Amino acid sequence: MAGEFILEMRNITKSFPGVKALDDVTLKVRPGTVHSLLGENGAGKSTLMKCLFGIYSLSAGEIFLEGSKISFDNPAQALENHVSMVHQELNQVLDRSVMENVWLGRYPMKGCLVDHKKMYEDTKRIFDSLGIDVDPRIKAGVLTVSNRQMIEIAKAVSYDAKVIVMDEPTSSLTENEVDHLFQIIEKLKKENTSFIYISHKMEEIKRISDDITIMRDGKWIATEPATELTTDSIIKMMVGRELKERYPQKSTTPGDILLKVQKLSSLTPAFREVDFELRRGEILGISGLVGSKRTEVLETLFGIRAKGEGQVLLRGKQIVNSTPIKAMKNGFAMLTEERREDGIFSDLSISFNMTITNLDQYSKHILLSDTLMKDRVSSMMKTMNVKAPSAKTKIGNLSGGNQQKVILGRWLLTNPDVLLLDEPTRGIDVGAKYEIYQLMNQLAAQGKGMIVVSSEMPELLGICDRILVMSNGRQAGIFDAKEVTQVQIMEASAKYI
Amino acid sequence: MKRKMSGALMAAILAVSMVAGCSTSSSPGTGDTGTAGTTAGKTENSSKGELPILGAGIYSSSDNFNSYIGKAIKNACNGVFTTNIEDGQNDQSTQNNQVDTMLAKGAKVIAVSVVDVTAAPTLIEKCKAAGNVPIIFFNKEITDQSVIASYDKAYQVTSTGGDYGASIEGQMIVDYWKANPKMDKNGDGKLQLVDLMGDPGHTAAQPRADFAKKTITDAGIPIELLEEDTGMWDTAKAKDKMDAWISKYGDQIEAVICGNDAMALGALQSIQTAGFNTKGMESEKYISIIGIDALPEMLNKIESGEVIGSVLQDAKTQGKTIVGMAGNLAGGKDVMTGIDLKMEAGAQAVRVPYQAITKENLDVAKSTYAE
Amino acid sequence: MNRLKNMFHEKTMLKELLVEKVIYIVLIALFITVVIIEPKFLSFTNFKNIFAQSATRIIIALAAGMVLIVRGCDLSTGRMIGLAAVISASLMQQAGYAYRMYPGLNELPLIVPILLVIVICALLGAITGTAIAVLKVPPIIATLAMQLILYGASSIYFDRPPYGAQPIGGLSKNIIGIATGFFKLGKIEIPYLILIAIAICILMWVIWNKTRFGKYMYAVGGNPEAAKVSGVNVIRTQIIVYSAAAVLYAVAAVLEVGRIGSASNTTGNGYEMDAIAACVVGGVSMSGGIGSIGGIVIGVLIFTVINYGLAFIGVNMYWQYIVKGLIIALAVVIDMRKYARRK
Repeated sequence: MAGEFILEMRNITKSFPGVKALDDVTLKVRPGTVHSLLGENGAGKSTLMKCLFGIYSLSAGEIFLEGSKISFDNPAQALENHVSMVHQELNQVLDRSVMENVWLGRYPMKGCLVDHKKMYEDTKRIFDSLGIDVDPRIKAGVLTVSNRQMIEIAKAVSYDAKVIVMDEPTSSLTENEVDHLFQIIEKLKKENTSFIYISHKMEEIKRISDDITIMRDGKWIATEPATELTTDSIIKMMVGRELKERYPQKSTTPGDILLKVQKLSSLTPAFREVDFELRRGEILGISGLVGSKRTEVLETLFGIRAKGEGQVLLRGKQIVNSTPIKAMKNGFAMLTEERREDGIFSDLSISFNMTITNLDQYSKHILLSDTLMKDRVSSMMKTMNVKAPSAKTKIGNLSGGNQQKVILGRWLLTNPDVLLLDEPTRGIDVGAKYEIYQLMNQLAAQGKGMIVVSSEMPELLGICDRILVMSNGRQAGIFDAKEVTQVQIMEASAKYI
Repeated sequence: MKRKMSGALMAAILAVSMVAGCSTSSSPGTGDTGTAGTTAGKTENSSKGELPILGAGIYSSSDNFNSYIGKAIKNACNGVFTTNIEDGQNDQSTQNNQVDTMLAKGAKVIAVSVVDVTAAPTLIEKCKAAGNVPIIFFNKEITDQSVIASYDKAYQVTSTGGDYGASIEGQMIVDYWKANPKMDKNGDGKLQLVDLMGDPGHTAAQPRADFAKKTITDAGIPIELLEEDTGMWDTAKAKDKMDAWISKYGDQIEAVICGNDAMALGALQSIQTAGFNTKGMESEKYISIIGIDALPEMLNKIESGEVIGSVLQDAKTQGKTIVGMAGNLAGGKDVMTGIDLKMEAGAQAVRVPYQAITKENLDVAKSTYAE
Repeated sequence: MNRLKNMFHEKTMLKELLVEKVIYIVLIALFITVVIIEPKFLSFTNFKNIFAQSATRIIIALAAGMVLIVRGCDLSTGRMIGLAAVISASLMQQAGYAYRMYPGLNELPLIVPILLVIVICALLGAITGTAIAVLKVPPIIATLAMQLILYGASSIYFDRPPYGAQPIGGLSKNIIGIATGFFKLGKIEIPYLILIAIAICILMWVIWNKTRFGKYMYAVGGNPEAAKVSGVNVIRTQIIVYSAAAVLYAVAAVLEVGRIGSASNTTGNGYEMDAIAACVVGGVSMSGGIGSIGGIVIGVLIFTVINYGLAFIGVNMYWQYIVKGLIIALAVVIDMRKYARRK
């Protein structure tokens, strides 16, 4: 029996006063496999993992590691027992070297001094075995997110991990980096390491998983071999209803030219000579690898980043968006990529978050009208289908999808003509994604123009009219989304590298 | 970000301490030399008729009286010395640096009011090392006689005695009590008293409280001490304390003894708000308040009878005496040449007496402010 | 699913509420302790005194609170008050007073010195704000520099002929009347100071909650990046906040001068720490974006109750410091919990 599963979480129930967060959930992981854990945000995946790592105590159920019953008090204890977690948000000391991060808290010692030579050699050996090409002596802070993630995995390996939990590991990785990650996972699988893999990205899950467990509303729904499941059947189980298509059909066709961008360059050498047109009712996607300066194009259009050469014409008239305030006056709106960093005011209410950009509208003389704000906010919450107890709820307490809807609502209340959407569906569950796509279609039908940056190629192919591909700060081509293939986009992405 | 901030903070602190450490001396106006207030002769001077340097420092400009002496020194120096009054900012290491700078600039005499009296030997060593430069301590008394005795060119100029004027303050209460039987409001023959002390970190605070009370009890008047706490020499803090006490005891309080006038003014403000002393001594409800320093504002209150008196600590005479002694030392004369006061036998100390100030002798105090 | 989530929220909100209300419990506990030791404490006069002593501190703390809300920090508070105090006091002396700073000056209408110090402080505050918002000087450094400059300036103003470094007293009956007078409501006497503080609280409440500027203030403090992207003029907001805070300091300084009857260059010394402590205890987050008028008022009251109540029962001053320190530590622990939750 012990041989069949390395980790078993049997009939786990976790109750908080008044609510059952986990209800009789079972998860069995075979040695040397990747076991994906799927579910919408709030389905209980994170709670389950917190139970495993001893952050929460169990209300009922048992956990077995290699056949013997265990109960960790904290993540450090789990680590000592070879169960490790690579977090979505990397907890690293960025000002210290890579190897110090790997061996933090258990530096090899020579007498009472840290043995840097041994630390370097040990780190190097692990890196070589995993094919990680990073000098252990450089500062962790200078590395890309993907490299830092590799280091976290190396750290797990250094603890001789038998089970590694990965929470959304690819959310900020490019395709190449994802490939590299998967190579490492495959390699470790062969050495009999098991993975619990949490992600929203269907393509990856199908590619990497051996087994898939699906959860919904704190309950176990199904566990199947990956080969038995299709994307549609997975989504159906996750959302508990049939989603006919992942992307809603866009019925309208683009109209007149709304925005003309001519040979636009940034003031700093980020990107140069970007040249495109955006029509009314059109959704233009921007694709490219991480670092191809897609976000920078949007930021320059919105006045966050200084503009260099080139011109921007709105309805044929030249405009200069030197600050976000000017951009807003010209009818631009921008949804930023890092929702937590520069999108939401997490300690403040939904109402505050929705109205902050257009307070002028609610001003009567010098005071703000509460009733007017309340009306607009509640109708926008209804339109956007924001799920929250009330408009006074702190936005920080909402799920990612609901936060994103509030921020979108904020911008729609300014009644913009051009919407710049940077990764609008990142970290959002499937149901909410669909709602956001639908909304984009409605906005297109109202004649608004949208520019969407996304790292998920199927998403761009599914929702856009045309796709502009950036490569290393230059425009590598514009394609019709109906005709182009993923391979063509990938080729274009590599054009100037 | 955090690291950057603390780095910048360090830099700022460094900059501040450097500014404090090496502020330059400005030479006084040379125009009117006639008002040089000292009776000591001017010092003969070297080559170009430049005035010799007197290195002078007060312990803190936040102490009104201390900075007033500083001012008096500065005025007395006119035409005799070049000086600039350094502010020790209540920090001994700042003051040490300032003394180093004074000596480095070639000060002929050092006159300082030390921040911390136990630092006096260090300053003496500095003066010895710089070629036996004379040093005069003022305002804050160096109570350890052996320290002054350790250097034949160390002197001190302070107010009389170790009681910091409080015996006089106590005696004024005794006199007032005897002259005004009404003061014993409840007729129990005891004095119901609240005491507002100064900052306990200051040498004068505790002795002032103790000697005032001692003088009263020694005169045969028993004391019932209702409350005693520190008002930190501060008007606002004293007022806040008094608010609570006046609410608690009301008309039971017969006298308020304050460690300085700033606190006396705060106490007055507080009891006036509660309806006392509003019409001077004729007020229906009256509490006797007394302070030390004879500040101009206090003189006004004495005149109107809102408080019964204060004790004058004569900053002007102290300043003149210090500069006079310094002039004699720099000129190689006997240190007390032309100075009216006497050197205390065997102690190298000059005491400037305190004086009781009441309605009757207000002019004495006023004259010290007339310039 | 939704129902579950809602219950989750209600639970965390209840917990939040409890954590945030700890400070009220502390205030009540302190009060009860003092009353048990000294039952006479329960009198109208004591209430009146506590509120009157809190009045100027509330005004100062509201100013400090605004600055904290925009993720700033003002170390120049006390010295700004000191400068405003000596300038205003020197222009509010009685005509007949013997030791006037300007012997030849006629007694000015009160409004003149008040407006003058308001204008001076507003400008100085705007300078600090500009250094922080435009030149990106860290607030601690900018206001530390301002603190030193202001102390120097007020000392120079204060320590000069004809009478030198003497407290500026002999103030006009008008200002003393405003700061120590009261309004009679039957048998009850309500000090004007309390009424002024209430009026300023109401005004500030309206500004903080009902105007664009107020919302922008919370936005800039809550998330400066998001505020910028949302079209908030971050720089202008910061400058106005520092300038508005300075105006409040000026008002508080004039009232403080009237309340204590004189001014010197040490007036206001250390008030920034009292104000920041009161804000922290009152739930203003040191990491910005959070803070309410009510909380700040409670914060100030807690410290006044400690000051006044412990003096009333005759507790040694040193113990008062210890009690204050413990309460600040407790408040910061609560604040850090908020911060941790946000992460």
